[in-house]
Amino acid sequence: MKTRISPRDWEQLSAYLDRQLKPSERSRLEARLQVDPGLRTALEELRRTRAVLRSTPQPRAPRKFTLTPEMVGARPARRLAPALGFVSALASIALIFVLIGDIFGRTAPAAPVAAPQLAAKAIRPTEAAVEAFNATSVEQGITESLPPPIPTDMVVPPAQAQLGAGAAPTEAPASISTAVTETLAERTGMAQRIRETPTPGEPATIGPISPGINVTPTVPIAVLVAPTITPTATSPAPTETPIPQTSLPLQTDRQVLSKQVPETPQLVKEGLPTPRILEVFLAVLALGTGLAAILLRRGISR
Amino acid sequence: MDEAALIRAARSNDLDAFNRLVMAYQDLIYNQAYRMLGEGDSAADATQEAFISAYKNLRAYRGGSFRAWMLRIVTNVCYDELRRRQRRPTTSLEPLDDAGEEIESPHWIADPGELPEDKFDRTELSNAIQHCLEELPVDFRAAVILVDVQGLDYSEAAEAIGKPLGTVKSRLARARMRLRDCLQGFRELIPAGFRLREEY
Repeated sequence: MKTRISPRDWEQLSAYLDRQLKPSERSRLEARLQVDPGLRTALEELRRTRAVLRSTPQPRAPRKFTLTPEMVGARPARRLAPALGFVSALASIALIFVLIGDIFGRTAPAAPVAAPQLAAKAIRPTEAAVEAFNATSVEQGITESLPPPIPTDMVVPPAQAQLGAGAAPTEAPASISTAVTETLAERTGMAQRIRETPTPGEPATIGPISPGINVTPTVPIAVLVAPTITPTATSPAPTETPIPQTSLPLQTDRQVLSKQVPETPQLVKEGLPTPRILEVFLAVLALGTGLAAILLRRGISR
Repeated sequence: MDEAALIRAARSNDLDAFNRLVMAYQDLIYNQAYRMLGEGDSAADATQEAFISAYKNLRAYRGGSFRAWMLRIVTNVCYDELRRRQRRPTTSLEPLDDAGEEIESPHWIADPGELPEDKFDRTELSNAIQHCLEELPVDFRAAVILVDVQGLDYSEAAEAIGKPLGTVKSRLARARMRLRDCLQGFRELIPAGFRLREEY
C-alpha cells in the first residue's frame, strides 16, 4: 500500500524526527503513524536519509586559516579614510565660498571704489579754485574776456562721484570731462594767471559773482590734487605749477587718475594675492585628501 | 581562556586571541564552505574570507552562539560565491568523450592506485552525497548542511541563516525529501543499514 504524503506531512515527520514538534502535534502524529504504514515508511526513509548525511565524512581544513596582521592591516586606513573624506569636503566648501567671494570682488573692482573717492577729493579743490577764479576774475574785471560760461549741467557733483559701485561713475564723467577739458584748455592761460593772483591773507573762496561759471574737474584734477596748488587763501606763496598751455591731451578721468594717483595700483597689488593663495591651497587640500580617501577605500575593499 | 574571553580580547584587536578562535572553528567553517560550494579551493578561499570578515566585524557580534554567527558569515560568503558563479559560468574541467560530451564519472580525477576499496566506497558515497546536495536549491542546501551535516539544532540554524524557526523547519523537510529521492540513485554505495526502501 502506498500512502500519498503531503508536504505538510513531510514537514511534520521531519520535525518529529528532530523532536521539534509540540506535545500536542506529536501525539496526533504518533496516532496517525500507528494506523498508517505508508507514513511509517516515510518516517523511516527520512531517518535513514538523515543518518546517511550524518555519516558523511567531515573534511578537515587543508591548512591553517589563522590571520596575519597584513591580512587585517587595513584597520588604521579604514579609520583614516572617512576623516580624509570629511576634510576634503570641508576644503571644497571653503573653496567654493572663496571663489564666490573672489568673483564678486572682481565684479565690483577696486578702481571704481577708489576712483570716485579720489575724484571727489579732487573735485572739492577744483570747485574752490573755480570759485576763486570767479571772484578774482570779477575783481580784476576780466569777466568780459572769458569764453562763454560752462553750462551747469556739465558739473559733476561730488555726491555723484562718491556713488562708488558700478562702472557708471567712471564712464559718465569721462564724456563730460572731455568736453570740459576742451573748454578749460582754452582757459588755461587764464587759470594760470589766477594762480598767480591770490594775495596772502585774502580768502580766495569768496563765492561766485558770476553764477554761470562752473568747472568740472578733469584737467584741474591732475593739477589740483598736487598739494602745492591748493588755492587756499592762507597759502602765503603758492608754488607755481607749470602747465603746458598748448598741448593739453584729451584724457578721461581714469587715464588721468592712473597717471597722477599712485594709490590705485597699490590697492590692486595688496588685495589680490591673498585670495589667490587661499584658493590654490584649498584646491590642493581638497584634491589631495579626496584622492587619498579614495585610494584608502579601494585598498580596504581589496 | 574560554570562548567569551577570547572574543572580548579579539574585539580589543588582540589578533592572537582571535587566531585561537580560528583554530577552534576552522574545520567546521571549512566543512560548511566545502559542502556549500563542493570544491576544495573555493571552500578554502571562502573560509579565509569568512575569518577576515569576522575579525573586521567582530563588534557586530551581539552575543549568542558564536558558532552560529561564524556559520552565518561563511554561508553568506558562499552565497556570494555561488551568485558570482551564476553570473560568470566557468568551463568545466571534466574530460569530454569523442562526441564532445562530459564523461560523467564522479571519480575520474582520483588516482585508483592509492585508494583501498573501502576508502574508495566512502569517497564515492561522499561524492554522491555532495552531488545530491548540489542538486538542492541553495537555501535548502544551507539548512540541511547546518542541521544534518554540522549538527546544529533548529534555533542555531535559524540564527545562522537569519530566518525564523518555521522557515528552517520547512526548508529542512523539503531538503530531506529531495535528498531521499536523489540518494535512491546511489543505493549501492549506501551501507546496508542505511539503505532506503529496502522493502520495495
